[in-house]
Amino acid sequence: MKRPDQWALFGGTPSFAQPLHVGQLNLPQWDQIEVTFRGIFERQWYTNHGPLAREFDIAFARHLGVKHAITVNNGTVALMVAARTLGFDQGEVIVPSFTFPATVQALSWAGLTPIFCDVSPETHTLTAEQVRPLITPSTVAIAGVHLWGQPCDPEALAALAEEFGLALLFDAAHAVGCTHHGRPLGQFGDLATFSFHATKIVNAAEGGCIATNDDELAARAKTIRSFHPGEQYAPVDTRINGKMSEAQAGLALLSLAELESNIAANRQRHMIYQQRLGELPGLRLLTPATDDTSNYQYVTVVIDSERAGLCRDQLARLLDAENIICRRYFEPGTHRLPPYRDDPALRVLSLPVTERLCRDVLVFPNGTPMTEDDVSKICDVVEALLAQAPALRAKLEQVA
Amino acid sequence: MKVTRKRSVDELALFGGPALFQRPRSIGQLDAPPIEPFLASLKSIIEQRRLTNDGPFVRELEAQLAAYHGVAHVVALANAGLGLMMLMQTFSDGRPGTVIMPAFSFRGLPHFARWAGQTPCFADVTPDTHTLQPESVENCITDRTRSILAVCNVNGAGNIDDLTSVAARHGIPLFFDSVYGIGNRYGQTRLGGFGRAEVFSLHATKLLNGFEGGYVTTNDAGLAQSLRHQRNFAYGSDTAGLPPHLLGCNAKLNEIHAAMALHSLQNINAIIDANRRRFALYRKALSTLPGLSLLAPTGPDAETWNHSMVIAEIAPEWPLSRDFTCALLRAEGVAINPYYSPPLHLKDNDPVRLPVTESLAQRFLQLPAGHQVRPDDIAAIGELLQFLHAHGDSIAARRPASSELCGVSR
Repeated sequence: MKRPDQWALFGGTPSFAQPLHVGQLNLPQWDQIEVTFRGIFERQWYTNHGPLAREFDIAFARHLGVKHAITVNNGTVALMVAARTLGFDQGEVIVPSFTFPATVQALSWAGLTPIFCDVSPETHTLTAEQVRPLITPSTVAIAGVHLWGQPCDPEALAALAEEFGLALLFDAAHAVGCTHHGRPLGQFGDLATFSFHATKIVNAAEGGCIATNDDELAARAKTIRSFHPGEQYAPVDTRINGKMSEAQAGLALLSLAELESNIAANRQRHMIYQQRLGELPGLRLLTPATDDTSNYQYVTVVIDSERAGLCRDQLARLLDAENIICRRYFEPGTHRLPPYRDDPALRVLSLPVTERLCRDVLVFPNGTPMTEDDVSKICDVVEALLAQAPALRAKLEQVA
Repeated sequence: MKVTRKRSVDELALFGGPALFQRPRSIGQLDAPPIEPFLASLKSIIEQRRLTNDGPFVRELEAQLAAYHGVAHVVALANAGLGLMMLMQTFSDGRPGTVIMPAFSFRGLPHFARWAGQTPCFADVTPDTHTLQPESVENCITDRTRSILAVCNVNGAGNIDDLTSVAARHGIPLFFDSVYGIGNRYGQTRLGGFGRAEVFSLHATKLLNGFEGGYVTTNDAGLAQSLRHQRNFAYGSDTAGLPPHLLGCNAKLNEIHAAMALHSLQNINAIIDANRRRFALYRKALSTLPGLSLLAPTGPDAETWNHSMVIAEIAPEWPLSRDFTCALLRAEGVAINPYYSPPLHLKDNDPVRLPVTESLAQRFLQLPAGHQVRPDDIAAIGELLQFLHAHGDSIAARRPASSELCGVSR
């Protein structure tokens, strides 16, 4: 084991020669990709609702068990289209701040006003209990986030939305392949949106999707997705170029075919993290509830600095130097980003859990480029760092 | 490919005859770079597992486009529309207001304004280049005007000097939709460095094919920096100096699209040369037709034009209406559209009256262009138009009810 002064941050050799990242970066075999792209060039059909994009719409709807999947060029555009699809020109939407900022930004692009709600310290998602007191006559919708693939209180939020006549949107960017009580998360809410960013489990380089069982909402979302004259299914006043290209759709189709094996590999690595990090003092690793399944895309750890001996930022800094590139999600919290942080009109209530999570959450690398041995070695490093916490803390304070 | 020439009016496809083209001829550029070098780049992207997030192909594309346009900064984007939307949001300072724009333009423009929390304010255009009329723009300016979006057209970049003066006089940001203007010049200067910023497209149907994509050119370092943050969620540790109203989004160009665009850029001169040859063939094929002419740039910069679109103007001497001509051609597999019709203010039910715009919107047809159109296609289209002209009266007598033509007017 390294002595405190031998860690890379203090001049030693990094534990890994190459950096390990949080993103999934799952990729199909090259020969499959080559065949796909030769086909696109052969057809000379590069975008504008081409055959691969149409096929992916159908394939992803089938995967989710929903009537409609409307694929778009990225997950943020999926959220923007979904927010417009709800059909409100203005109004308040209750949304967590503890989410990737795109969730909230998309509402703003659609002309809606975010009302930040705190989250559960257990699941890191909204709960119906927390949302209820924020509902006012101006509220038009609830936008929950299935953060880390954890279900965002789907049944209770649906009941609450129904009680007050609100629309219910779920940001399921993290949740491809996740289920709640046996149902894919795309089946909950009026609309759910997904991401196929390269760091997600299904990879279209960039990509996204809106899922729904509602024919009317689907017609609106499909119309909003592009300006194409042949793609008008419902009257809408605002459209966008959200088309997924044939290149993106081709990659996504190949990636979707490998989803189950990628989840299985993620799970194996996640189990090692659970067994090793879960044992360490001051570290809590999020795991799916008994009735739920996860894609195990995120290895999310909450660090109690008093018990661990190091705070999240200190641990992240040490790991970074070892080429273990963890992510401090979500720092800063969305309510502390422009344009929200400076908006005096915005009602930002006290968000104690959000503030704490923004300070304490660290997400560890997982994904195809990593082996199970890599994970064991990462856990060795974390264990050793925490064992030397007092000495390392003193050295870090010296460096500072 | 064999084409079916017409011997009688009954043989027109709209009246039940066989179509001239089995596979419709497109109006888009749809050029692609040679596949093998592109696949080599794609393979390196896959091997490096770097598919997006400001990767090396995006950076190289930005550097090469900046050199091509002669500007200090290029910010690559997922598509041009997102660029227009981001600029409108940036220039609004986060306040609701209006964006002055032409109504004789792409149907998406008012939509981008609405995404940016702005209301479109339509100004009239000039009869020659169909670009924003500086006087009409000035008449539209109020204390709610946040920006002016001018469009550089197929037949001219417009009166950029006067528009710049109007914008400067009122202290309002001026920017350009230049999606048709790659390679085109205003005077001696290639488009890219005018106004606060210009927006270009890398859509497959445009001059450079990046599947989907776009980019902003600017000489304003602060604006470029802000756009780079905005396209990537305005998120991260270095957001302290960003404009307080800046609304982030995801407008990142991915590496695969960037590589495609980069390979297209290597071919740009050949693409433009081929367009010019096709344009010359069209000109020859239509030269003897009264009432039908091609829209072309005039003035000293005309020689530089990229001719990625071919627009025909229908004059009163032409025996058939524009929409009927369009319906006849579409039935033959000539995938054409009325050009910028109806104009945007009428689509938006805006009560403003724009006489030049409303007149122009009746007169133009967009003809097949780009890589998929071969010389003999142009000859066949020319012959078909000759036939329509020669039999104009008897064809006009068989014109269906206008409701049956609606399909071409969208």
